[in-house]
Amino acid sequence: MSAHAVPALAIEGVAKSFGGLKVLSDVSVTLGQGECLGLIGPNGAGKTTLFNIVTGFLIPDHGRVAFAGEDITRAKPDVRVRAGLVRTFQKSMAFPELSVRENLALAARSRAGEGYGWFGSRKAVAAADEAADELLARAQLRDRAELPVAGLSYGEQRIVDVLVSLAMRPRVLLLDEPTAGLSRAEGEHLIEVVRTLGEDLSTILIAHDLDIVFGVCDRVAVLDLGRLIACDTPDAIKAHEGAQAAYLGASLGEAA
Amino acid sequence: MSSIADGTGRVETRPASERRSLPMTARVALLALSAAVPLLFAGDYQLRFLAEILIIGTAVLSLDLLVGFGGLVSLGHAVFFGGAAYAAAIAAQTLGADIVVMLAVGIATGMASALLMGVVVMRTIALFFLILSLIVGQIVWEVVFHWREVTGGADGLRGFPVLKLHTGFATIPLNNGVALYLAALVLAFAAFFTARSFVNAPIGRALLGTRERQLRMSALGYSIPRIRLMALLASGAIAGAAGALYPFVNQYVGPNAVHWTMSAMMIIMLVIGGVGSLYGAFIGSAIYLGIQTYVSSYTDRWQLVVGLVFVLTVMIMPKGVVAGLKAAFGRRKDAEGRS
Repeated sequence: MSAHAVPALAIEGVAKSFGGLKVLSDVSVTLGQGECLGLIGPNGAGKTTLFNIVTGFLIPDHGRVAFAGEDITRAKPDVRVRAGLVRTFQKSMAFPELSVRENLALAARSRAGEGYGWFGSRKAVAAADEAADELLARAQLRDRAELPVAGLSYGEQRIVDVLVSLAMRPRVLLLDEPTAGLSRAEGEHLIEVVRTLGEDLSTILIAHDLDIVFGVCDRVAVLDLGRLIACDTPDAIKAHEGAQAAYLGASLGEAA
Repeated sequence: MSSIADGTGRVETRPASERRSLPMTARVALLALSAAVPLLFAGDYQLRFLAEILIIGTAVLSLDLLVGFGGLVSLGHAVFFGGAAYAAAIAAQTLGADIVVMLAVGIATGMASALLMGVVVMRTIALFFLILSLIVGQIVWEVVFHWREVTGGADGLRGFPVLKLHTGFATIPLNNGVALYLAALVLAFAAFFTARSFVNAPIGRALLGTRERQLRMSALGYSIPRIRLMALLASGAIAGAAGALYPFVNQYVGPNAVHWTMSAMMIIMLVIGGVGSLYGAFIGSAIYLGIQTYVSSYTDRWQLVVGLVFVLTVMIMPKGVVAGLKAAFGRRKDAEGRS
């Protein structure tokens, strides 16, 4: 990332409280173009809250969020998504009763601005189906297109979730524990899918599997009790005492 | 890829050729045939009654778009229907009752009321939607009830010019049972196919998505208020078209047509017929109005019968009468197949 380039995403002095509970205080972090940033920290550190603020599901009490240089602190979630700021959720959010293709097509139509079509939308529907099939083919899931998502294995469902977000052609993708509940191999495959299918993609990855985070991320940010206690390269974070302490003695170096 | 609204809002992912049912042309022919039967056997009164069932059924169908596919239970739906009925009745007195003009007035009024309703309710769901739609509906009722010079107040309006269809060759008066029945039939079919195309188009899939998972739809870049507003407008247009014909069946429109109890009646019809099935709207309307018309000649307590049917439907056939009977017969067939 060059020093002059506009960061893909800039979070500046963000704070959020729920009632008397301070969930985030003064968090600042930037995501460079094409960068993969890991976001780690114990449960309740505020990782998902930060995602909710970045994606517009929450409005911060203080601070601002800039997407490609533009202030989006108060923009609505769907507006951010259409601009290319896309997220996944901890729980799979695909429509289980819809087919895999329909799920992807729903995203592709939204991306193409055809999500509200009625009459004469046949072409748009075909184009979205085609885009869905292409993504599925590239993820080697083409033979699953007709199945309802509920009929897939858990690992495949998580991949479909990621494919749905990729169908939005994001510029910035926030992945909230995409590998939770997956085996090491499945988790690595999922990350591989994101890396190969997401073109010019900047990502923030929340994951508890530190091997994956340290293995794929360019930098890693550590949140603890709503504070950003470190943001550095994986090697530096492994050696960072505060980060280690946040994980209650679990040696980050050993985990890797 | 084809898909069909089957009551659960699920998409039929199998290709049409694999479905075990009659081809489309045979189905249409069968429907047309059964629609022609009343013309042979029913008298003027019965045909008017069937026209009323089809017209109210069309309004219920438009409600199904909101309830069945959007999860939006509205107690203000009578405004779209009754408002359009009043607008058509009032317009007929000055413009004459050309059916095309009446339909245009009704659709415009239905959509305008939907827009008004949408501005108030499109950001709300569930109970808030229900209450807000009820309030908007009752405001309209108050206006209709007290604006005597225009709406006739509590007496309503009666005595309209004869509904006419102008063709290139001749002007056909639609003032008898046969003509009204046929007009209502065309309305019902057009409304059904309009609603079905809505449900199967991207907008319909998006509407289903907002019913199932609002958060996900936002995360996919969909504006939920926009989807709801479009559903309301489509629903309002269909309800408005139905409302436009309503005054001409009984030559009367009164404030009850916009009252919240009318909306509640439509919900009851919808539940009896089957929420999310589209065609169930007509079945529910037929059962309700059938009870109202024929049971009420034996007892004043006909609403008790409606209540019983409603409770039994909810308990035994929660997907509606048609789906319930289908399931029951399907099971018997399967049992026979095994033995």
